[in-house]
Amino acid sequence: MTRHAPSLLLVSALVGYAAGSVSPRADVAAQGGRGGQPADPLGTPAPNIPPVANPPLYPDPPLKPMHWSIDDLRKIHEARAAFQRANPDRPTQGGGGGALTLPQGTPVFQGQRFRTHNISTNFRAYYETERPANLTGVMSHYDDVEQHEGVSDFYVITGGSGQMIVDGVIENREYRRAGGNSGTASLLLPGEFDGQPIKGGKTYAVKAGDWLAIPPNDPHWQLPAPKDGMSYLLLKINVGIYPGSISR
Amino acid sequence: MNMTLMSTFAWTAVAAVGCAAGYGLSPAGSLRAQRGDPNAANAQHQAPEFTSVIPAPQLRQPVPMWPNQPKDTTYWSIDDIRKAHETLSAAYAAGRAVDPNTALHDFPYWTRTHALFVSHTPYRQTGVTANQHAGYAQFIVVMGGTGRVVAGGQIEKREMLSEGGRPIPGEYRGASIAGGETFTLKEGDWISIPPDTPARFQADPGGLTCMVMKVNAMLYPWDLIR
Repeated sequence: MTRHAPSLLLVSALVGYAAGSVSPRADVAAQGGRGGQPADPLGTPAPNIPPVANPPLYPDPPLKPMHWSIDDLRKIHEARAAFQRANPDRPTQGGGGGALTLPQGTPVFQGQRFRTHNISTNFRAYYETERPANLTGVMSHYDDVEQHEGVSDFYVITGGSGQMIVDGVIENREYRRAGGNSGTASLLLPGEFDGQPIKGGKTYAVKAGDWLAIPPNDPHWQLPAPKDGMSYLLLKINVGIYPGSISR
Repeated sequence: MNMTLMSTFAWTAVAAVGCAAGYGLSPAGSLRAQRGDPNAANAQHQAPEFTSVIPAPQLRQPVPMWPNQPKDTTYWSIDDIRKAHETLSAAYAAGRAVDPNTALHDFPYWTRTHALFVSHTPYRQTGVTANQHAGYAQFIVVMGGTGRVVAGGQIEKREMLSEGGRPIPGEYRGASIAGGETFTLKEGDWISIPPDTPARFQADPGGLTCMVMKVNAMLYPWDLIR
């Protein structure tokens, strides 16, 4: 017995090591949870949640219909464009450049967020003096081109005019980062790209009332006319590749 | 006898200890996995590093979109949009029923997730005019004309849509709505109607033409959507 014990121990250890080598990796499960939190030590099974016939709409399901008057949309554009004319170098995207103050009585746009789509508006400006673009930081009169792999965009121009360049490919393309691309520490957004300019695209002269349906993965670039700026409905439909929190 | 039992027990214990030790030290072993935070530096948990190439490489193959997902952007000018309303208004005034989707290029516009249609409500439309769709949300742009929409509330004497004796789940119809909110509409206005919310459109003289975007709420496929 004593004479054979070390051999048995060694053979058993080899058998255990071999079994562990071919089994599914336990390290992920062992570290469990988000942020390195330990897994449930009791191994409690996941709750058995029955399927929901009508899943809740994310986030803040707007269970009531909404109406937006074209009169209000025009007033919002006019106030926004006037503010930009008075502050021609103020960036229109991503904050910065001082507070946006519109005249008292200017209607406030209230959007809606659904699990499947998101309704909002946006304003873009032509910068008389070249400034660092909103995402890549390259010197330009315009904000950067956008490309969303997981989102369809639908635009309705509500005020101003300019050009939309679509299709083609983005030159100097980068992954978009959650905190802007000028730093290197912020989170990469998979499927979201930016850069400028667009090469080989198609140019449309756009004015108030026009529509554009921009399919997923198609580059698009807003070039507002000087002085006018450009306001538009931005309706984003999530095509189900990644969560709405990533889409921009 | 006792000696044999003890010997068997000892052999089993040695084998079990050996297996446990071997498994614990193996690549899949939980002892090894729990030995530390792989993203730790100076005993502090660090966010994982993302490694990427800038500029980004070419995308993988585009995800196919059903049905007929366009590859390129589609553009509609306000001039064409207004002309579509005028065409439909004149046709209905002359007593000609036409498919509204023929009045504007690239309509209907179908994708896997959403679809765009042109809808025309003639003046003094009667019959079943209240609709409720559990399977999709609607975003509507008024293309021309004036009128009103009652949205929300409940369809009175609601019935499930039936086609050829086949019930269409999630599609409800009726002649009127109780308790809804009324919005006055004109060219350029927008309306958002969440899924499962009743709506009834009424037009003034000249009719009301709308672009209706149906966003599939992913409850059921397009062939059950009306």
